[in-house]
Amino acid sequence: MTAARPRCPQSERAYRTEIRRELRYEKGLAVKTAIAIVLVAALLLVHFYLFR
Amino acid sequence: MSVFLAVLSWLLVFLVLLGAVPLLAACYEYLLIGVHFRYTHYDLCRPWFPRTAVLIAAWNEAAVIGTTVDRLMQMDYPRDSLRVVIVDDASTDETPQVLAAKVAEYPGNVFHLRRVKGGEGKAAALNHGLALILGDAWMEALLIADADPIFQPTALRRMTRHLSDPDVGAVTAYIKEGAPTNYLTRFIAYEYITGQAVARRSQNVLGAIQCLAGGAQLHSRVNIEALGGKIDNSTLAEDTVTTIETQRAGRRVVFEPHAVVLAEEPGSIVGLWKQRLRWARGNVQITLRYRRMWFRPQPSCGLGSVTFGVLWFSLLLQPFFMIGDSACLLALYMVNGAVAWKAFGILWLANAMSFVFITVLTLLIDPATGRRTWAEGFMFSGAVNLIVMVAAVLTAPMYRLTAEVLSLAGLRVTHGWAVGAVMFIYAWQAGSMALAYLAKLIEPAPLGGVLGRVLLYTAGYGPLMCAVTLASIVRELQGAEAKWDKTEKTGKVAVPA
Repeated sequence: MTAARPRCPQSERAYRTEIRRELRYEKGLAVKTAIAIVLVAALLLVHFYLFR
Repeated sequence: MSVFLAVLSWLLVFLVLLGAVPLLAACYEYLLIGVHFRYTHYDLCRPWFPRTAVLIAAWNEAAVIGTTVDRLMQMDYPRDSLRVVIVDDASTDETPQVLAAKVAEYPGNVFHLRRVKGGEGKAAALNHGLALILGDAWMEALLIADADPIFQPTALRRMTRHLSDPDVGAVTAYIKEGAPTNYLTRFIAYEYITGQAVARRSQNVLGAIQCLAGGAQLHSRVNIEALGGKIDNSTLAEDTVTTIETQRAGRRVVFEPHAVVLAEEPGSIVGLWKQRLRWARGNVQITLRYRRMWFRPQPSCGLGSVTFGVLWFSLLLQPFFMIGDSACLLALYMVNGAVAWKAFGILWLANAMSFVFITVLTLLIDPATGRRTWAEGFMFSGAVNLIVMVAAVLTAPMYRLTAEVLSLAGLRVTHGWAVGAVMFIYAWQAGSMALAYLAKLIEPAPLGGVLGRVLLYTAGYGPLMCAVTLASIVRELQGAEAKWDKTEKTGKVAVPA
């Protein structure tokens, strides 16, 4: 394949914005993973200290 | 004798706890989601619009093919760089007429190839079109698609941008259930978050993709030519063969989670069973075909890594883990009832924690699908397993609640009843698969739809998939005929505005 052709319908700026948005979503998944881990830890605490 | 029993007890405890391996492997997969943002491949991407041929094999797809073509032509992609080639595999319905209308509507973009003799399977039909496409130099990228999926407008360009890196041989999209209209398709929609959005992201991190989605896989011309210019048709899992061969040749395969494609999935247990049996048998064939690849790390690709092997075999052998768990718990109960109860408690506490982690994260990863399928997510393992997991976490309150309920009902728990209840719950892991299979058997009968649904919610969708895997292994061992059973499509995928 050769270099990018002029028929490209997406501007470089629009492309960068889209990539930034998608990366933000992926980084958000790291936060969601952390939330799920905290929830599991809380449940373990409930099990061992309250309702065992 | 006592030493022998002690050793036997410990061995059985070990085997019982081994049953947690598939769920722990799944948890590891989910943990990798947290670091996926470092493995997106976006740093090596740029806007890239190669001349792309979309290749579709169609057999009696009149209900869906017209909409599929329309949606492909409406994609956010340069029209002069897009061709849709449909191989009509000797359809006997209105497919030829629908395609003739689409060829007239999109001259120079849509091409209809008619095979006079069909029925040789999807790969044979694809190869018919592929030979023609490779016959001239126009095509730079090849998108292999099914006849029914609806591509979101940005899906193709989000996939092609990865091909700007010459090391990438193929890209796969995020396939979502597009018509979650009944309880089963909601289960499938939830399952697809785990099987696509989660598993494929974790495989991006591991550097080894298990399977390019059959309904939306993009190849560079270089890759498809290096594969011999044709799709393998020696197994029922031609997509997986293509994926593995691409990576073994040193070319990268990427999952693009933001390229979304909506597909129609079976709305009945019988239809789902037929589809998944084909997929599962394909996986068994792949396991045997690449038997020298597993657990043999290679620098060129991650398919031979220990982690990837554990994930692959955890899924393939899950029915055996479940049967083994039940058998070992019952045996341990005979040897030492107290130890069996303790091992059961540890196993189910691990199961409960894995379930919470996986379910919560699944619903958070794709909130739009999660909002429609959260109930099926909680019932994924079945009602009985859900109760056991709640009891494993809230042990004391559940004991008290059970005692009070029995007391209110005027029931006294005898020793015989207690033994029966314990043995039932120990045997349930294996029993849930049998009950899920019964749901499939009962569905075609009068009132079978309702009964099948009740049985499936009781046994769980997960155990149904395990029963399919077990059936596929049995059929493969029996050497049963491996034929291509097409999943019937009705065009019910909700087309986004």
